[in-house]
Amino acid sequence: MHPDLSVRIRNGIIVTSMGIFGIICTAFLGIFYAPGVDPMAWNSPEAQRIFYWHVPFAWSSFLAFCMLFVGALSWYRNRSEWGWRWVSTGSDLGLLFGAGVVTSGPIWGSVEWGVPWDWGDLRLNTFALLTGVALFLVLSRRSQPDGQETRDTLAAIGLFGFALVPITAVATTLYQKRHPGIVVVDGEGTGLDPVMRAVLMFGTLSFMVLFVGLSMLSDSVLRLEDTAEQAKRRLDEVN
Amino acid sequence: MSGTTELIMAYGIMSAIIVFYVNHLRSRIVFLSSKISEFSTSVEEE
Amino acid sequence: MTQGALLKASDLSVTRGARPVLDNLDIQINQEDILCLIGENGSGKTTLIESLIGILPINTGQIKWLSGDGNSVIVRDHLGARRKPFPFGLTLQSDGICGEEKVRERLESALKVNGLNLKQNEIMSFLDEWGLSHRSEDRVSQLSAGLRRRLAVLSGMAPVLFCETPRIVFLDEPTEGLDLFSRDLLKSWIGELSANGNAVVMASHDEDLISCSTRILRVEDGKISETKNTTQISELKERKLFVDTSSDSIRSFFLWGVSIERRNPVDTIGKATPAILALLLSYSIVGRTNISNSELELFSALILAPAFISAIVSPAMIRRLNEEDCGKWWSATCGPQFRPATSLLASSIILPIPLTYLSWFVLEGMITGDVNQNAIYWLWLPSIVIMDISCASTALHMLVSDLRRSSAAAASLLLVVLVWPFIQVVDALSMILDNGMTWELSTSSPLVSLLFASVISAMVWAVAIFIPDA
Repeated sequence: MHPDLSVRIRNGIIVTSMGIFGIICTAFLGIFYAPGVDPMAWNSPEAQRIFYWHVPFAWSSFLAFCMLFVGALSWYRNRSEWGWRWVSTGSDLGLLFGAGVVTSGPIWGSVEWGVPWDWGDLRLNTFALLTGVALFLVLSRRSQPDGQETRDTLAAIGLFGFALVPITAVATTLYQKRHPGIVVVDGEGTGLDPVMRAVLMFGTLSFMVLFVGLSMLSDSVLRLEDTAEQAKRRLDEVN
Repeated sequence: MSGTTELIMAYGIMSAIIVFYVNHLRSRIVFLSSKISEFSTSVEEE
Repeated sequence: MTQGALLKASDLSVTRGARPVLDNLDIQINQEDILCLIGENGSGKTTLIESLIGILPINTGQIKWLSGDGNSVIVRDHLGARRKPFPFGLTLQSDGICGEEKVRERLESALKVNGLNLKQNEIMSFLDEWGLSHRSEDRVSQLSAGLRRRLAVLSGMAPVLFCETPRIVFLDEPTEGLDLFSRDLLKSWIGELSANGNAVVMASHDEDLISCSTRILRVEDGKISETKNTTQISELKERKLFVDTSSDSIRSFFLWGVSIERRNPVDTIGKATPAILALLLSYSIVGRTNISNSELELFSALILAPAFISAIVSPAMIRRLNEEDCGKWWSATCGPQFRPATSLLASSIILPIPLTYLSWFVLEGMITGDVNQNAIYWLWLPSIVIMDISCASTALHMLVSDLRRSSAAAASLLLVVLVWPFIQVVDALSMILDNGMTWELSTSSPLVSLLFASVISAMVWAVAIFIPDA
């Protein structure tokens, strides 16, 4: 293996480990340290602590789709290999974090709202659609032979998926039905206990570090796949 | 209903998702590294 | 080695549509024969091969296969009968391999249908000899055309070369797309096959290949003329031969289909997606105006609609089998059981029950008034009948899959007939919702409606499966 690639993998492992340590600390802080919510105002006050992972998971998935978008643009403009690696990594991480949101959300919703899902809520449904797009991209990359037409098609679908990101993020303020609005930014009707906000910010930071670490490792895997494919092509010629 | 069971379930599922993906990356890196060294050896032999 | 006959075709005539291609031919293929079919493009070489392996119906005569131990089977006759031939090797002109198969998996399937269950290291050694071992875990679609052709030729010859029992190998244009290394290897394997008592039948324009044949058959104007040829005996490589167990080609076919679908569940997702979209549509429409319990038939139809949609969507397996004549290879190998087996393998068997229960949980809160509380325990029964409808639908899709240009229109017209059993199933479910499940056999009982729907589906299935092979 190329020494440069070994260094990348090693650095990826270090950053991922830091991220994992951070999110474990976040979980402990969120469950045992952060203050609880008013039990009179909430149906399931303990379940509210899901929030410390649920929200950073959602933000991480948005970040993944931004990565997917930038990669898709770069692929279309320059046919750049790094652009395609960003599309691949962005879709993998979009699915990873999206899946976490659409599983933890309904679990929380079923005890807090009494229903796991609200088909009439724009934010919930566009988020589910985002995750569905990510799932499609991951499955398609695994099943289709790699080539320019495949990459063009999947990058186009990724761009479509990204278009849903601002709709989903803003939908809470414009079309809030059941899902709570933004609580992190101070404003009319929002607000969070300072300790809760601190834990949430720490969690968000930890998830960002984890995101970077996983991106580095995913990128390394893609580079390894390229190297393996080149080696196989050399063997094709030799044989 | 305080929601403690749901809390544990949600954190459990999110953890499992992260562990699954990290393990997937690890096994791909190990597999591809061994394949690359095997192919490089074969090319040199030929 | 004694030269026993392995195949006898007598008085063989074949037409393609209205055009006569082969006219009263008599051919005998013996052990150690290296038989090369030559002729102009369109003379009927491929038609002859496909007739001998049993995938084409014949107008006159019969094709009889013989085994070394005195057994024989009439594979095709002019009355339309078809039987599975003894195990043989086959390389079609279009490779006959689905792009989603892995290289190692392909060779393994070809060996298994011939009753050879070899170890992984033995399979890898064959791949290594043909320069394919480094690609063993790659999908066939990732290979270049030349490497795909190598795999097709290897998969055709290996099951016979490594088998103790003398068999026949059919190769249609084997050298097309092969490089020099592969051609030399092909010729040496052909020599080894013959030296081991097997017969090789190939169609080719390659002069090199023709020159290493012991019999040259020219196909022209529907007739054949034979020339004998002397060849040099190749140097035999020391090879381990394997005893073949009884081949279960249908089981291999099912395992092949399941493993491809597990790797790329496009069939499951392709069927589930429109079904779930239909459910969401039902939910949003019904959510505006709740259904009263006097509209049980409408409610039943909405419950069963997603499962029905998943049942009638065109299966991905049919597209996979159409790829590079992959279906033709399996049809030749599995014999007349191929079509019924495909209709079961490609059907939506796992989706109807979960989709029906999912519809129930999503929609049940929207009906005002009482429905029978035990209905939920019987939802699986109409779902099973929808599986029957799915088998019938798959059979219809298979029927039109050969009509490459007009298949979509033809299939959609034929599928209309399946609305009839669906209406019977809806009736049955509405009776269950109203009065609960009863086991009496009267015209107004759910059981009779379900049986009727099953019978209609079975009849449609039988017509679509057995008529094309008649």
